[in-house]
Amino acid sequence: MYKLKIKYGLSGNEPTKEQVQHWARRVKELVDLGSDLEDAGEQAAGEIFRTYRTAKYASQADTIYDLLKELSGD
Amino acid sequence: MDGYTALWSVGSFIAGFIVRTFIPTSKERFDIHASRTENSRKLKAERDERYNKYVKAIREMIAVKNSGNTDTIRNVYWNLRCEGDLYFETFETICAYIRRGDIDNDSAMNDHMEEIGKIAFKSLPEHYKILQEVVRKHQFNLSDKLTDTTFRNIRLFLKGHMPSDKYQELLGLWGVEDPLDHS
Repeated sequence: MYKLKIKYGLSGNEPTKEQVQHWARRVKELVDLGSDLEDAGEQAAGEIFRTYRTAKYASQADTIYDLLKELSGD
Repeated sequence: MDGYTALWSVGSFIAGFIVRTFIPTSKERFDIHASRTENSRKLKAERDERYNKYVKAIREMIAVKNSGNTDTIRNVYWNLRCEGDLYFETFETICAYIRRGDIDNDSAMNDHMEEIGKIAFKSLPEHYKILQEVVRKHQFNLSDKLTDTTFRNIRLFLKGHMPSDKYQELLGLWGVEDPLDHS
């Protein structure tokens, strides 16, 4: 659930088990209709999770890079 | 026991031995998958722990960089150097595991792939650039740079997962050449 929260930029609590199952079913439907798996995941997340893409989580690499730039004074 | 029966018995035994030895049962396949997933989980946990220590070391360096106290800066520099290397070593291990098939594909994709690329193209080169800047500025008698052999598994892993011009870009960022790496 945590991975979905990060991947789709969901704010607030992690999605519930029921929401995740709903999302998975919708992904399968879209894939069966011919969508690419990644695109299906994004579309399903947009339809099901109310807080889709409302939060931005920096990756470890992004945070490290920003700190190193601050250290170098750039 | 006649000849055919004996032959059949031996043949069955050998066939059964081969199947048991080389073809995993469904339980064995499940156990292998579980083991690979667990490997990924453990490595991610180790990476996260190292990340926290590395970030702390960078922040300490930021705090003292203009202090003028060379001894303090040297000590903090050593800590930054060590914690950074230990953090990037976790990626070296992760890449080695993925290349050997000791991490399952889903975990590799979800937990590690994106970070591996960003670390290689952004964090690693910047880390070494910073170390060299500190060494130059404070005239520490040290040398810090990426070589053809450092973080070889990361490089080889990415070489197998990107177009060759992108890989050449990575080599340029690292300032290294690609010897004939035998994967």
